[in-house]
Amino acid sequence: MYQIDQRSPVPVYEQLARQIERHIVSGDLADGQKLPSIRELASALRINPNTVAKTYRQLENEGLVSSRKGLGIFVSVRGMDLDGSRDKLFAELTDDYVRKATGLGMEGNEIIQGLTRRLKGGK
Amino acid sequence: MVSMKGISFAYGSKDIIRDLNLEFSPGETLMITGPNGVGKSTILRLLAGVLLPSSGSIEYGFPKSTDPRSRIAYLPDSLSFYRSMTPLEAAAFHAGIFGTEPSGLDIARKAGVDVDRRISELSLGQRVIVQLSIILSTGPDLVLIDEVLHSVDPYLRGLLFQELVRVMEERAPTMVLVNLSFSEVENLVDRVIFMGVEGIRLDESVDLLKAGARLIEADDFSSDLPVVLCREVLGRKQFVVYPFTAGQEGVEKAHPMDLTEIMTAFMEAEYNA
Amino acid sequence: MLDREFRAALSQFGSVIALLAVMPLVYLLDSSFYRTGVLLEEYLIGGYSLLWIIGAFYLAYNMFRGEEQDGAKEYLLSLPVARGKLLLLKTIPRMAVLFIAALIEGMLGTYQFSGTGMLIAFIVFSQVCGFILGVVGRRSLSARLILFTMVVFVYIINSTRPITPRFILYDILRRSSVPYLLLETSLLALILIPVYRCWDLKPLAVRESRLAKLSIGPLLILAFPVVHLFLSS
Repeated sequence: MYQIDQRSPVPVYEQLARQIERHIVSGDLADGQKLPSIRELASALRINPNTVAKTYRQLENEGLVSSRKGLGIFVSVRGMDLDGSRDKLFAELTDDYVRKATGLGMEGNEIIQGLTRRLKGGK
Repeated sequence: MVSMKGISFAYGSKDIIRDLNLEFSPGETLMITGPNGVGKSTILRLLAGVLLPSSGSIEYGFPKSTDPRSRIAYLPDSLSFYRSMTPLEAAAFHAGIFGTEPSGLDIARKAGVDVDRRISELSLGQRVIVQLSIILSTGPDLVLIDEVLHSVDPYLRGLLFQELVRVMEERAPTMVLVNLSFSEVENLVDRVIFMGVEGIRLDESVDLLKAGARLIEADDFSSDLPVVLCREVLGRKQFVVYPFTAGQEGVEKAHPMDLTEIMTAFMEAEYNA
Repeated sequence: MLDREFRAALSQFGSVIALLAVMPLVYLLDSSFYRTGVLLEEYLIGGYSLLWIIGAFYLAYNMFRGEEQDGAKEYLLSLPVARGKLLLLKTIPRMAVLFIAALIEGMLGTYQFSGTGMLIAFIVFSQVCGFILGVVGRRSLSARLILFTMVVFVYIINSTRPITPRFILYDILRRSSVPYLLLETSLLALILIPVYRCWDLKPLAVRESRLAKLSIGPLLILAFPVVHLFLSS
């Protein structure tokens, strides 16, 4: 469900926060849904509980989740501009994709054509 | 706040540790690594009170009148324990000494350990689980684990991690692990210390370390970047650089590395020095 | 931990005393060869005395047998029990068992030692030496030799009845056990205190040589009265 890229220079808490954000934006995590407790997530992913705590704090600062005393951490995005978040994530994905494609030596047009073809299911 | 000040340890004419200064913050999880024989286990033993330093002092920050060992959980690589006891007896014995309730055997039962069989008759992985869960059940403020995590199969290791995470979340102890393999504990650890023959060569937080270490493939490389290691792989030269600062992005093909790769580079450098 | 030590002391001493069961057999063999006219009772009582001494050595030697066999020494040092408390926990059960067994001997009519003070001194000395042996390591040949010799010396000194003195000064000293008690206590402390203050997990060779250096003086001092006793008998 969550994958930590060990090589990435991005800190673990940041990676995890982004992935949770993606799940929220895509609707996998519904508004009001309870997120795993710090202990559960740390155990499952084999990461430091402090890191999970940091992740949740970050998400809370960004307004994506809220913690309810004694109950846990819940997704709370009602009224939020989820489309805006989705656009931001999409932009990140695309930049990464474009970077890798140009690294193969492709030009802008080639990239667009190739992408269109693949979207249509062709070769 | 544990601090080791000016610690030296020697016996006979052999100098194991010279003038070591280290500080651990509360709740921090550290890993000490390095080639065999540089004194990593010795540091743990000094912290555990099992070895006495030749000079220098260790301050634990515990109240003056308490024996520091009562707040420490120590798992030595020798797995030293009363092996002729059963896990039940050992748990009762241990709790009796520490003045806590005997517990910690639920995890052992999950691991399929028969708690009425002698510890000496258990498999190595089961012994590690039993001993770790017993020593963690005293609610320690300092946890010291020496190199035993590799000898345990993946399923048992998962159970071990559950135990460690539980203790970390409940008590936020300072944890010092001596480990040679990093893939398992990589994300548990806040800070890494690499010890070479001459002493501590690296002491850095994991986030900063990963952010600053790069693997560069280039046939030649004239730059004033600090090179940790230069090696040749499949006919191409590789340079491991640390710390790498953003201003030098111009160097082609600088790959980030995971903790195993970074530490392996340091180890290689140590052996080739 | 104390009950563990008591149980160990009782079972170890008991297994030595149980050899008393062999005594009737030895008696039969002995009386058929030598016809000394000694009664079986006397044999048994003498056997008990002999076994008591063996028991004292056995208890001292096996003080840390459990830990050495189990590989639990490092674990023991990591426990929040002060070194001094460990000394007491280990030696007191054994000393108690030996003392009570010696009282039984007294009730049977034989007294191995020239005075209760000397008895207690021997018990304390032998068991503390057993502790020191355990701290240094039972595997160490030199430690075993040194400590064994010292306990034997103390036994000789403490069990010898006052004999016809050659020198008046010696006679005066001999009648009072106090100088000997003081001597034995201080020699023991001289060795024990440095050994257990530095008691940690350093290699055997280091602890061995430390003990050897500390013991030279005491060994020579103890040898003096022993040699004298042999010469004057």
